[in-house]
Amino acid sequence: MNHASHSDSSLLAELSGITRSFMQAGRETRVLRGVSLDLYRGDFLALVGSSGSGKSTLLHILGILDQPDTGTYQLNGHDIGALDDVEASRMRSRFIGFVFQSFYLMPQTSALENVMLPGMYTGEPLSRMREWAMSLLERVGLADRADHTPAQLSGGQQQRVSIARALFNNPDLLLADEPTGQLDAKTSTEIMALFNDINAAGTSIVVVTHDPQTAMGAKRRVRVDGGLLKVEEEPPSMVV
Amino acid sequence: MHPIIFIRSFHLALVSLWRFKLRSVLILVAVALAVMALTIIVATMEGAERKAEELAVNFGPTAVNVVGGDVTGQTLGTSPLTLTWDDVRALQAHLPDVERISPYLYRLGVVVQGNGKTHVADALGGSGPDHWLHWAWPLQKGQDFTADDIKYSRRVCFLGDITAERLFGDKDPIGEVVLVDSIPFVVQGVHAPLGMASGGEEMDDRVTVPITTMAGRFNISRQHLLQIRVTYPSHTPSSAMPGYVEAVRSVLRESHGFSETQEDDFIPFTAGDVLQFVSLLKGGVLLFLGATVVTSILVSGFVLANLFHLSVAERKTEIGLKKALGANRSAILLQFMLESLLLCVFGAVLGLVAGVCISYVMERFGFLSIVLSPELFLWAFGGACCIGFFFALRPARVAADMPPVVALKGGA
Repeated sequence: MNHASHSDSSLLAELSGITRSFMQAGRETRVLRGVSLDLYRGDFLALVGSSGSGKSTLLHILGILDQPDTGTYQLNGHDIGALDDVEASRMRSRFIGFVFQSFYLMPQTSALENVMLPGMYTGEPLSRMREWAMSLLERVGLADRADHTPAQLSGGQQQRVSIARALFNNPDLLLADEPTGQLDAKTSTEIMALFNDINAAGTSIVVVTHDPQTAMGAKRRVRVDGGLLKVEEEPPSMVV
Repeated sequence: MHPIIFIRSFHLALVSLWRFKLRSVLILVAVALAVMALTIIVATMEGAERKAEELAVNFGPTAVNVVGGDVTGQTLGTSPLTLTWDDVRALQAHLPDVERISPYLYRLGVVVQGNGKTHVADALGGSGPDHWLHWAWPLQKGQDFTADDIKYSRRVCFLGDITAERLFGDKDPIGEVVLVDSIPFVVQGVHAPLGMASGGEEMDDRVTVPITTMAGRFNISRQHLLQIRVTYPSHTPSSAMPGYVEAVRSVLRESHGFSETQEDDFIPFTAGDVLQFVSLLKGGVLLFLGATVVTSILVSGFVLANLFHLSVAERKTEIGLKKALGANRSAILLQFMLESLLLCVFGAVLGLVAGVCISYVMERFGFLSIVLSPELFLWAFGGACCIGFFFALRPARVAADMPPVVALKGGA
């Protein structure tokens, strides 16, 4: 807790000494073996690595969907290890947005209502929520698709809706788990460009991917290998 | 939790019910069937209650009917002649509060001929003047017996509703002559039908003649009576009736010269006894029907619980997603509980409508009598909400307690 950068206001999230094990087939598998990672405001990080390397687990811990066995996690100066269910939900609601590989949009529900879903768990008035959701759809370029259901949208469009949904509560940190995993190369590039715009507007982003092309769209890359952070690559001089 | 979130959870619950239509319909039907059974049974029970009250009123709330014979030794349908005119005189002498004392004679089976037809009626009865008043048994038409009819042992009679219909059909029997055991009588009146509820058809298939005529012409003991009815004034409170029954008993025992250890050779009945008998009967029926209702409620509850468990397993991703988007444990719990409660409330409405319709049809066909009371609606909705609450509790908690990561991986 006597970390030097604790008072650093540019530091958004700080993981140190994180370990996480799962029981698999009666055997304990150590997925994370002591990971320390600092995220800065305005960061755009790609977590790369082969499947089973622990990158998704790391993302879940960052998103407060999972708790580490040991180690500490500070988000916006809050100690995440000490949160109960209600507080953890509130932290997720206030600080974090999620984007998933398979979009996870509610079927038979309009794009607009899907974007509003995070607002269902806050006390925000409905009219303001609708207005705000509309402006987010505009931002991801889908203003004219607001009343379409997921089945009426292409994969890329669905992912844009889910990104708009992730932005609904104005998160400080946007977490994306293989966001381009189900999209073709062209659409992937478009989605990464959208992430770049969002990042440029001030939201920090962590993208988990095994696709080098997608990883190149981030400002910096961290390789997860065997439960450890192996290589931290320098930001490329040119952003895709 | 913010009240708006509660309202929005309703919306989310409705959306889910619509999304999983098959599951919703199955649960709806299960709950509706249980509520339907509950509705019919509650309506029937309350109908029986009302019927019993009618019975008690018909019997006469302030009357004591004394029948000859002792409680333990009497064979069903036979009435040893232990009551006499002396008993009537003793009651008249010792019970000043009494308004009326009415003796009655009775014989099973009598041949009646009239209008060219012959009919064997179930019973022949002998009654005093003002039969209607004394026995709370109205005439649907005709003239009641007068004091003179009794005094001069006139050969006039009343026919039961069924007896009149058998002999005369739609024709008016008043003033016609009928042969009762070959003795000619003039029909002076027709009894109002009492129906099944008042002790079987034999009540409505009988001939009633003046008690003196019956004693004189039908080879029946002039001394003995089948029944004595003692009527207290109509303002007598029902709480006073047990005391009055005791008074009647002690007068009769003294008149019979009984010592304290001897058993009664007569049985007094009151409206209270009628009610008690009916409620005893009802208790048995209630137990049986109650078991049916409890079973159907349990079955529908298990159907609901099963389908909700399946649903929770099927909707892991949705649960995980909602948690990731900021739903806490209670929000997930609330949504599943609301889904269940909404289904049960809709099921209750369906079941109520179906139950009321079926009860109504059954009443139209005379199978039972029903009462649709506000309590019925309370029972139906209460029952349904109990199903919805208790049986959804476990699946909803499984959903609420599911770790978000496990939930998210479940569907991916």
